[in-house]
Parts: sequence; C-alpha cells; structure tokens
Amino acid sequence: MEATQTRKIKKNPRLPRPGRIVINAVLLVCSLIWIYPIVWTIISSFKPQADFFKEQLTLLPGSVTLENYARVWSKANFAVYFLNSVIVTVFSVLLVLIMTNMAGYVLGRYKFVGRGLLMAIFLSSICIPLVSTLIPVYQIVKGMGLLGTRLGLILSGAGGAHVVFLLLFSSYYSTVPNELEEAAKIDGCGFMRTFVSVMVPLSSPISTTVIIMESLWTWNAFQLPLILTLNNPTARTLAVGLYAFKGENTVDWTGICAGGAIAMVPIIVVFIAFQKFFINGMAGAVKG
Amino acid sequence: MKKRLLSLLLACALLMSVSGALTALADEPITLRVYDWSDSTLVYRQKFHEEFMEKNPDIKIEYTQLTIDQFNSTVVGAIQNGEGPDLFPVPTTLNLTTAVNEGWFLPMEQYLSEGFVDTFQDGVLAEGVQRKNGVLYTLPESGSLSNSMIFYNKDILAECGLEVPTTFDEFRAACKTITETGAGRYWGLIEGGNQANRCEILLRALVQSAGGKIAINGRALTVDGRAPYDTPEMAKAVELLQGIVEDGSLYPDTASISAPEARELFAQGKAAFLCQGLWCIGTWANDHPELNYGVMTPPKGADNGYVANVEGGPWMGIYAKTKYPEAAARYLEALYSTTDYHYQADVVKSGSYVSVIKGVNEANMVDPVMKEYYEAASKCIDVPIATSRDAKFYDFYSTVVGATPSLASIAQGILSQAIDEPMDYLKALSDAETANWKTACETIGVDFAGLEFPNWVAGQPYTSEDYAALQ
Amino acid sequence: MSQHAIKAVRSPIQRRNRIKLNLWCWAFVSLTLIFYLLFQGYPILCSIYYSLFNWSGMTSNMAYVGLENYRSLLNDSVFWGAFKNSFRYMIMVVPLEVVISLFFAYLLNDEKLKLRTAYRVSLFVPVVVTASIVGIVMVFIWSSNGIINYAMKSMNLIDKNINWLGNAKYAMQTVVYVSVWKDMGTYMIYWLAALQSVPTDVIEAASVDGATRSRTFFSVVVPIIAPTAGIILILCTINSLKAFDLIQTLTGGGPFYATDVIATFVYRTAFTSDMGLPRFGYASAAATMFGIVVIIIGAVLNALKGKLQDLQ
Repeated sequence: MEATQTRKIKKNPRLPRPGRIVINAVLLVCSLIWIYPIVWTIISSFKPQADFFKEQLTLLPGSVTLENYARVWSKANFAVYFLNSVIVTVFSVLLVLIMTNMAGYVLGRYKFVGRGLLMAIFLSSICIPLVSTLIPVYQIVKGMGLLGTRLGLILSGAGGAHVVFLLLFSSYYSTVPNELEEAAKIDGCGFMRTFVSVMVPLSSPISTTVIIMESLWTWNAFQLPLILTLNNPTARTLAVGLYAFKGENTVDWTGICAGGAIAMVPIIVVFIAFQKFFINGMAGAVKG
Repeated sequence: MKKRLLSLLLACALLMSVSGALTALADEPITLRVYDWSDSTLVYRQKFHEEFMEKNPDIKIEYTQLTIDQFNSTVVGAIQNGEGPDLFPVPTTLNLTTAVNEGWFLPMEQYLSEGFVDTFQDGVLAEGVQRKNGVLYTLPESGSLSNSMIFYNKDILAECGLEVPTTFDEFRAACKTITETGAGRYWGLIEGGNQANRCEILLRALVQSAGGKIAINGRALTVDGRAPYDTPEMAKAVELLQGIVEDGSLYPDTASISAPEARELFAQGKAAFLCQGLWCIGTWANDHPELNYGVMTPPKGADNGYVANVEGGPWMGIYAKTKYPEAAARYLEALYSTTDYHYQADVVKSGSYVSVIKGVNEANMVDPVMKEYYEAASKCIDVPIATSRDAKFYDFYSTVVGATPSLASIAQGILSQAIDEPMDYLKALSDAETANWKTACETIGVDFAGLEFPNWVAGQPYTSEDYAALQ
Repeated sequence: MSQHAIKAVRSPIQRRNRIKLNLWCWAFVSLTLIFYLLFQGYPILCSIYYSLFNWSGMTSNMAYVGLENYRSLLNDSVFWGAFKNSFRYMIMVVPLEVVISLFFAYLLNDEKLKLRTAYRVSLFVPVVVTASIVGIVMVFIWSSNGIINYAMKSMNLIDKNINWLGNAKYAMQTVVYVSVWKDMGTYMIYWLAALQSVPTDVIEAASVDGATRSRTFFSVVVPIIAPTAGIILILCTINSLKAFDLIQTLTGGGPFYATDVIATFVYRTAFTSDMGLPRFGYASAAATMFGIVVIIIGAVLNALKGKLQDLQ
C-alpha cells in the first residue's frame, strides 16, 4: 500500500513543485528571448517609418499604421510570389521524396553491383560550397529550355543527391527485418509491389522528415531561384521576391519588416497548425 | 497499401501535368526587361516607366534593380547564355572594350532617330568610354562629378557653435566636439562602412586632400615605380581616420550599415558629416525636405591638397541578342528626352544627377545645395589616367589581379577598428600591387612605366599638354 | 545486418534473379542519380574544370593555367583566414547548438509541462524565417543602440555600447549566436525525438532509486540517446561548414575578414573585385580545395561513427 502510494506520487508530478516552477521560469524567459526578434519585426512593420529609430527598443508602438503593408503589397507582387513558392515547394518536395525513398530503399537493403561506388560519389559531394556551381546549373536549366519557368525551379530545386535523406532512408530500411519482405514474396509480390505496398508505408516517419526538411529548405532558398527567374519575375518565389524588394528599398526598414512579416506569418501559422505532425516528422530524422 | 501506390502515382501524374501547364506561361506582347543598380533615382525611374508605358501601350517595362554583386553573380551568366535583359549597364568591374569584345551590346546608332546623339553634351559619348572604334554602344547615366564630397548638417554645426572645418585637424576636432555635444544623439562622421568601396573612396579622397598622388578608385598609377599606398600622405589620411575612430566620433554602427542606410541616418540627424556623392541630394529632397545641410570639399591635409575628377563611365546599352532593338532604342530615347518625358529634368531638379543632355542642367538646377555641389565639384582637377595615355591599358584592367587585403578592405578595417597597424598592411599591399601590375603589364605587352606620370605635380590639373609632353 | 548478399547466390536461376535484382536496384537509384548528375555532379565537375583556368566568369576568354590557382591559394592569407574561420565557426557553433538544443529538449520532454506547445513553437519559429530577413533584423538588434546593448548595460555587463556585428573583436561570436538562435530549433526537435525513445519507466525506475534528475540524465538517458547524438553532430557539422546565407546577409564576411568563411570568400572572389575582373576560376579552386578537406574530415568522422556504433 505504502509502496504504491510513493509510486503514484513519483509518477504523477515527476518533479516537486519548486523544480517545476524553476523549469517553467527558465523556459518562459528563453522562449521570450527566442521569439523577441520575430515579435520585434512584426511590431516594427506597423510603425510609421519616422518612428522606427525613435522607438527602436520599444515593443508597443506609439502609433500604429497599416501603410507599410499597403506600400509593400502594391510594390511587390507578393500574392504571385506566394503562390509560386507554394507550387515550387510542393512539387520539388514530392519529387525529392519519391526519388530518395526509392534510392534509399535499394541502397539500404541490397548489395548490388556499384553500390559502394554510388555511395562514395554521393557522399563526396556533401560539402563542396555550391556558390561556384551556379553557372553550370544555370546552363543546364537553360539547355532544358526551362529558364524562368516554375518547372525549372522545381527540377533544379529537387536536384542534387540529398545525401542526408538517402542516408536516412537507407539506414532506416536496413533495420527492417527480412521476414516482412519474404512474406510479401510468398504472397506473390514482385520487387515494385513489395516496395510500394510493404516498404513505403513502413517508412512514413522518415518520409515526413524528408517532407519537412526539404520544404523548409525549398521555401527559403533564394540564390538559385533568383538567377533562374531573372528573365521572368512573375515566376519568382517569395524568398526571391523579398530579396529583390530588399535590394530596391534598402532604407524602407518598416516596409522590409512588413514584407518579412508577410513571408513569415503564413509559414508560422502552418507550423503551429501542423505542429505535432511537424515535430514528429523532424524527429524521424534521427530515430532511424 | 494499394491506396498508397495509387496516390503516389497520381501525385507523379499530377506533377507532370501541372508543371507542364505551368511552363506554358502566356507570352506577353512586348516585355522590355531593364536591369540596373541605380538605387538613388528609383522614384523618378518608376514615374518615367509609368509615363512611358502610357505613351507606348505596346511595350511593357519590367524594371529590376539589383546590387552590383548580385548583377555580377546572376545576370552576367544570363547575358553570356543569350538570356540577358534587353537593356543593362556595363558592370562596374568591366570596361566597355571588354564588354564589346564579348559581344554583349548592339551598335545602337542605327536604331536611334536622327539627331538624338546630338542632344548629348559635347564629349560625353567619347571613344573608349561609350564608343569603340567610333561605334556607339552605350550611353552615360549622368555627368561625372566627384563622388567624395562631404555633406554637413548645418543645424548640428550651429548647435555646437562650429564653423565648417577646412583642415584635417579642424575636421577631427569638430567631429569630437560634435560627438561630445551630441552625447548619444548624434556623432561626427557616418559612413556606409559595410560597403568596402565607400571606405576606399573616402580614404583615397583624404590622401588626395593631403596632397598625395593616387589614382581614382579602381585605377592604377605608380609613383616612383611603385603602387603609392604607403606614402606619407597615405599615412596622414590614415592617421586622421584612426583619430576619428579613436575619439569615438564615428557613428557607432558605421561598420555594419550600407551607404543608403548611412545616407538615411545622416538625414535623420544622426551625424554631422557624410562623404558621398550628388545622388544624396535628390533622395533627401524627396524623403527629408526639412534637412538643413550643405556640401564642402574634403578637409585639406596639406596646401597642395586637391580633389580629383572621376572618369566618365559607360552605362546602359542594348543587349546584342535582344528581340526588340527598336523598342529598346525607343526606351533610351525617351529616357534622355527633354521634350516628351521628364526623367532628365526630374533627376536634375531633384538633385539626383547632373544630366548629360544639353541645356537640362541650366534649366533645371534649382536646388541650392546642388548648385553648391556643382560649384565645389568644379574645383576638382583631372589626374592622369593610364588609358588616356594608351588605350592598351583597358586590357590591363581586364588582366590585372587585385591583391588582398585590398585598399578597400584595409580602409574598412580602419573604420571598424579591426586592424591596429594599417601602415603595415598598406606597405604589404603596395609591394603586392606593384608586383601584380608588373605581371599584368608583361602579360598584355605594355610598358610598366606607362603607369608612371613623372610630369604630374600633385594638386595641379593634369592636362592634354602633359600627356603630349610624355610622348 | 539484413542486407541481401546478392553475390552469395550461385545457381543459374538465381543468377538470372541476381541480374534482375541488380537491374531493379539500378532502376530505383536512377532517378536520384540523374538528378544528382544534372544538378550537382556535373556542376561540381565544371567547377573543378574552371579551377584550372584563369577566368573571370564574365568573359569568354579562359586561359588554362593548370594548378596555378591552387598554388596561389597556398600563399593567399585571406583564403587561409577564411579557411580557419570556417572551422572556427564550426567549432563554436556545433557544441553550442548541440548543448543548448539538448538542454531545451530535455526540459520540454515532459508531457505534463503546461505551456509545452507554446515553448516549443517559440523556440522553433526562427527556423522558418528567411535568412535575408534575419540579416536585417539582427543588424538592428545587435546594433550599438539595439536591445542587446540596452539589456547588457542595464545588467552592468558592459559599460560602453558595442556594435557587435561591426566590431572585428565580437563579430564572429555574434554571428555564431545568431546562427545558434536561428537553427537551434531543428536540433531541439531531433533531440526531442531521441528523448522520446527513452522509455519512461527507465527514468521512473531511476527516480524511485532516488537518483537526482541530473544523475538520471547522465547515467540513464545519455547512453540511450548516444547513437542519435552522432547523427545530430554530423548534421550540425555539415551545416555549419556550409553556412553562407546568414553570414552573407549579416556581415558579408567583414569587418576586415573577421567573419569571412569559405563560402563568403568564394562568393566575393567569384563575383566582385576592387580592381580588374572577378576571379571565377580562382574561386572555383578555393571551393574545390575546401571540398576536398571536408571530404577527408567527413570520412574520418564517418569512420568514427561506425566505430562508435560497433562498440554499442
């Protein structure tokens, strides 16, 4: 009786009260510090330009204006940029997911001829600074006749070996017991069927990870999208549009903050809405 | 599980079809793409574009502004691949000769209406600058005026009871007094310190003010067979800058702001002095009409101190592979037109630029500070230019390898207190540049001595007679 | 290991199966391989090719110079400064990133914590913000009259305002703080995942034993999450060596090269110049040289990770 009592107490509040309060206090302070720059940006976007410096430290603006948003919205084509970002992100993520899942599967489960060489090639390119490859990538996209198109952005965005994803999938698949596959074989499944109906569903935690990591990456990428959409600004993504807007309006600080907020808030909302999914997905990256 | 497969395949199919549809973007009638980095005239440019599109409904202008780095890292690749914009300027890292040899630009005269080139002031469409072998490829953006004048805030000077400083010592003392009086409200000097080129321009201007022989930005000249970066005059200029920094008279965020930001902060009364060019006047007239300011030549460090004229440079040309050369020519004619459009008048009236079109400046220069600037700039003198002596030196600039840390970086390092002994760096730089320049001269087959102008006297204008005397 | 040893099979039917299997395998990697070759492999080869030329990237005249670019790199103090900075940055970022993210993850790994979701969102949000915006905002926040100076002054930590990003002495550490702030959320989530794999009854058992929270952590939790730590370390290391966007928008490598890493060096050398033309070939050589060093380091790390896992 007494033993169960102790157990219950230990189990429910895992920490004594004072400990809880300390932890909450630490987390509260840190969260506020962490989120301060974001809040500052959003609040600055409502300040009149003239107050920007005067009230640089204060969070509560003396006067609130929506003028920055109106100006930014009319100057830059954010609605179009936003749509482009969504389209490009969705499709390149999908493409990356399909190809890395397939490749990861065979790299993780089969010792086929040339596997070692492939892995070595993929791995060796992991860290070359990519700034110097801009020109050839540009030439390739041009060669495909896809400059200034969203398809060009999608394909080039999906380009590369995505070594991290390959490693995730392959190490995950290498832990799947052989019995599953053999059972599928007995059921008469071929190679493709086994992969699609047995393996793909199994890999959903890794897939979620890949979706999320690649989404973040594609959403924020700007160097390559910038050069690929030079001849057609209507194909620009949000990150590129924002970058160009910043270049043209260096001292319109409140406007830049407004642009930043426009770019930032939707993705933060998406993040909060899909929080659980998001975090479980990211978590898949290291569970494998 | 079959559903998974199906949805996967469906997704693939969707991807292909949708993105296929996306590629077939509607082709607009005529879209003229214009790229440049003229940030200070943006407002008037946009106004001009609206006006132009109204009068030319068959042409849609797509104007994009980048920084010069972005232009080099992105647009240049496009130009070489036949996908460049219809109109773009010669990058500042390049000269016309190289751009023309690369086949970037179209000879434009055949598309321009008769008499158009005659509207330009005499001498601005010069050989080597806008023309190559007599063929016109580019037009200049504006009249070339020194871009290293010092703007001062009259209200701050009055508040501190100061006169306009004229010497190095007075300037440093003034900066100090101002900073002390300002006590955190304003400082002595502000610069766009994260742009190394602005720091270099300031340093070179101060060397000239100290009577030192030094070429203008991005150009090479030797003194006694050596790159003149460790001269006593340089030491004097460096000492002044270091002194200002040590006194704490430099706006504290100088190292992390860009030139446009420095310009804006100056206008907000954060500093008493700013070293920039004419373009500020237009921006301020627009954004800060209340700003009470004046302009002066940099303070003198010696009696033979001077301010050098800048070299006129090429600007916009028509892309060799454009589909619409006529439309592009129409754009250029409109941009420089004084009868149908107001761009030239606007930029002069606002004080952004000095026009290269005859009569525009006389008719429109109303801003008193602009007149002041114009007057101050007219005291600038010519310094020798290697390419004026021998056109072969254009190849020199496309061959030479710049040494690092460059003069720009060192100047930036002084302003951000990143280096304690700048003269050591400057000596190493002189050695390295001298060697690099010799190598470049050998490579292109010109005499290294061509960079030396023995009959040049610091503080005295270098004239065509002086060039002739060297032959 | 559950890998099928294809080579071990012998009989004719099995040989046919083996060929079929190999074909399937290649079919499966082909998509990745094509995308890799097109958008990374070929461009990297191009970059290596360019590194043998004296070329501006702006003009069409490329002069073959052999290994001359590499030779000059060896004597280029700015390159070696950037090289050192890349690793300095890595050495500063990785431990901070890993420890801070583990700290938060450990605190947040308590399902009964009331504001857990809010904390988690706040700490993760910087991850989704574009680098170019972070650059602008942070210049203000760390400026001499920004909030950081204000806070530190009121806590008497400093007596004079410091321009954190513009002062060569502090610029690197400031860049490091900003990038830890920006990326910490990612690693925190990884750690959370790892911690969730620690069975709660293990922790409870330890608690019953009277072990304190920190003792529990080091003796019970750490061994379980150790393999994950390896992956997190590798990811963090690779990302820190690749850092470009954030540094470029914060400082562009300055002041006076104080925060210049290889990526900013390559960008600047390839696309800008104070005199003469940019040096694209030279920049390509720098990128290649750095890539090779990183590959060597990566191979060593990978071997170490393998050793670690074998030990387990």
